[in-house]
Amino acid sequence: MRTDALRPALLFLSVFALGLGGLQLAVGAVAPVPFWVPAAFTAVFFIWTAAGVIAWWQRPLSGTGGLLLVGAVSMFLGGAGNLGLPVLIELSAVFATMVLSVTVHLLHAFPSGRLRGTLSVVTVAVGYGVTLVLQAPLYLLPPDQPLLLDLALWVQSVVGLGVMVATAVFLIGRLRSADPKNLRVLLPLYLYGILAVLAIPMSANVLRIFDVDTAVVGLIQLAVLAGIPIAFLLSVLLGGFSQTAEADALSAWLGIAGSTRAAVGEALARSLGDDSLRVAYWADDRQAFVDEHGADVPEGEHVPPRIWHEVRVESRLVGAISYDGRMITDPEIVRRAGRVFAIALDRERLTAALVASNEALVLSRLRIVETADRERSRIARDLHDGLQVQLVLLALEAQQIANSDDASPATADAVTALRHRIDDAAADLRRLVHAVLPSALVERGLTAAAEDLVDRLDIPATLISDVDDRALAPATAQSAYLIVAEALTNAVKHSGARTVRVELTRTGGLLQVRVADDGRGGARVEDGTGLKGLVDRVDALGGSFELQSPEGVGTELRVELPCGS
Amino acid sequence: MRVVIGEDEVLLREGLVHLLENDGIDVEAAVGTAVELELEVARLSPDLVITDIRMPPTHTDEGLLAALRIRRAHPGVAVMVLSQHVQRRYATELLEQREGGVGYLLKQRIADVRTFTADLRRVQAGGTALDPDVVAVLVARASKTSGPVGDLTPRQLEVLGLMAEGRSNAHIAARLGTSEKAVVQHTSRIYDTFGLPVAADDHRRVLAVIRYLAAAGTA
Repeated sequence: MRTDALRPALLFLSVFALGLGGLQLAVGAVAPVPFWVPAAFTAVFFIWTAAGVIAWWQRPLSGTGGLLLVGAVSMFLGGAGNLGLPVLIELSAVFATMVLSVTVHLLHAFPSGRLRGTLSVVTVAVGYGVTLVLQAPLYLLPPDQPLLLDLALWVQSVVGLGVMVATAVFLIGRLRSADPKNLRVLLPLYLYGILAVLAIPMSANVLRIFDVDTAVVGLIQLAVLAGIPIAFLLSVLLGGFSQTAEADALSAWLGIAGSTRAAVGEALARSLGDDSLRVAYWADDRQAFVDEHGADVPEGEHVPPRIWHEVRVESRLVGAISYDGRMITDPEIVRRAGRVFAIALDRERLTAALVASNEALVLSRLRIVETADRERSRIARDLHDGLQVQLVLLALEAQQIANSDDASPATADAVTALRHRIDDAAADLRRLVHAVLPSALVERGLTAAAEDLVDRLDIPATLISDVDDRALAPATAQSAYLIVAEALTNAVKHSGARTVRVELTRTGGLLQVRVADDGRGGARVEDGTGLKGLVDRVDALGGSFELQSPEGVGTELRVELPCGS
Repeated sequence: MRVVIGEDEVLLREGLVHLLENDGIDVEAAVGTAVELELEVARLSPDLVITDIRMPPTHTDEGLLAALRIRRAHPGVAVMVLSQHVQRRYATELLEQREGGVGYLLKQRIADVRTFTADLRRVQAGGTALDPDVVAVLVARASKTSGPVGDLTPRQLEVLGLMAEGRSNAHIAARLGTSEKAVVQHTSRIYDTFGLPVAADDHRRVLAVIRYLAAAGTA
């Protein structure tokens, strides 16, 4: 039943019952019996109604609430005779003992509210027969036939006792096979229920022997009757048996980020109303079911009365739900919960896969940056040790030829010119090497390299640095250098800045790079490949990148990088 | 002149030795690491040390650090530092220790053999040789800030640059195709502009100019 339709209905029912009880009290005030009699009956009626409404409200999927309301109706009908109105007296005679068979029904159907097994159905049916059919001779037979009346009473008592014996046997059986977790609630409830049903009819005769006032007998009976719905309500609420809307509970669980495996089992047990419920997970690598701690699931989980329900996602076995078939009678509820459980398990699998692939991606991006840096270093080193030396030697050799005594003046001039061209090539190469990886960065580190950049800039620039160059990881130092270089290039080329300021600061494990100019602003990361590539690089290193460039105000670049190992 | 060389590139080291010996310079030792260089300097007390900056084992700035230590420990030893790239900071570090007797050039300058050996001799004699590249950085940096350097004429800037390289008036005159007298006029104008006292000796004059330039940039 949908909760949103149920709740207004229950509210309406409560108001109606209040009205009915009020009416009973009003009429009872002028009835030919003492006022406390209708008042007490009304009170017990209210208790049954309230228990029924609360149970139904809190556990919409359990039938217990509905049965308690049936009990409330029979209580009302049974007590209405006290009002002294003709029709009500007859109704009251018919339903006088029905509340006892409702109690038997409740006992058999607890906690799901539904009967299971032929023995239960027959016993409960006979119980209703005793209170409704076998009750009939008591009000149909003429009062001047005491023999027949006694016989009818005797038959009713004997069959009623039979019902109670059968009920007791049935309940004892259930207690013996019940999960120990559930005993603490079931035992007191069953005991109270059986004793109440037996005590109410017998109490009149027993107490009469001790010459107890009939009014007192009636009050005791009513008190015992009032205890029944309270006992069932408490058991339903505290015992954690009956199903709440399991999908609600499970989807709420699904919504909790980082929920543990232990939590899913608890959520299922709570929502399906079986504390003994366990979930198992299919471990593909071990080809076995394991519990939330990774331990093997005991064999007993497959043995009746436990029911083993396997959960699959697209025919792939992912887990299982093991539950007590007596606590949860409707396998469809478990199947439905199983589907939610499957989603939960699949989410867990997908999350793990996503986290793993994300970690792999982060590492791979970092490797790409480090590889690029290594390549830069290698190229710069190769050029420094190879080509740059070669050009020095070539130029030296050329000049030595030009300087030699046997060179004609024309040759000397030509070869000197050649030496100048080699020097020019060397200058070009020097700029290239500097762009790939500046010497200062290799020899001293970030601050020295940034200083060299600032020194050679076409506009006035200041550098403030408190960074110990030797404490930076190579990837961090190179990245920070490239960021400063790109920002300075942009300041001169695109911003039209008059001055620029570079700050390098270290706070804890973070290197902060700040480059601010007073240019025209309006710079965007998307505008050039330079900044975009640096954003990717900063991202790969786990840093942050912030570009503020309001039109006409200037551009400020703030980057934070982990200092690294 | 007795020289010790520190250079890890074998071909370049041999080229240097050959070049110097052809010019009548006595190469007493030529080694490939900064540690060996310092040992040889302590052992031989040469007139001049020529060293690379990047050398084994770390291939960072050990050659420069060795040069700075040598300048501190051996006041009589002149130092010429060679590198594939020159930067202001190293020049400043080399110059601020003591006056003169120091050079800092790009390796490529070796090829211009006569200028190079002349630079070596000047440095050995207590003079200064700064690479045009690093001088350009100093001058550009000083001109960026508002100050007297920005007020100089292009010709005066040329003279200023050559002075900072450590050149003599005669050399500057030859280089600019003008008379030494004209150069003297330019230099005294520069001195006036910078508010520097006219130094008697060439070496002091160069240092004063370099220090002025270095200080002007930091303002």
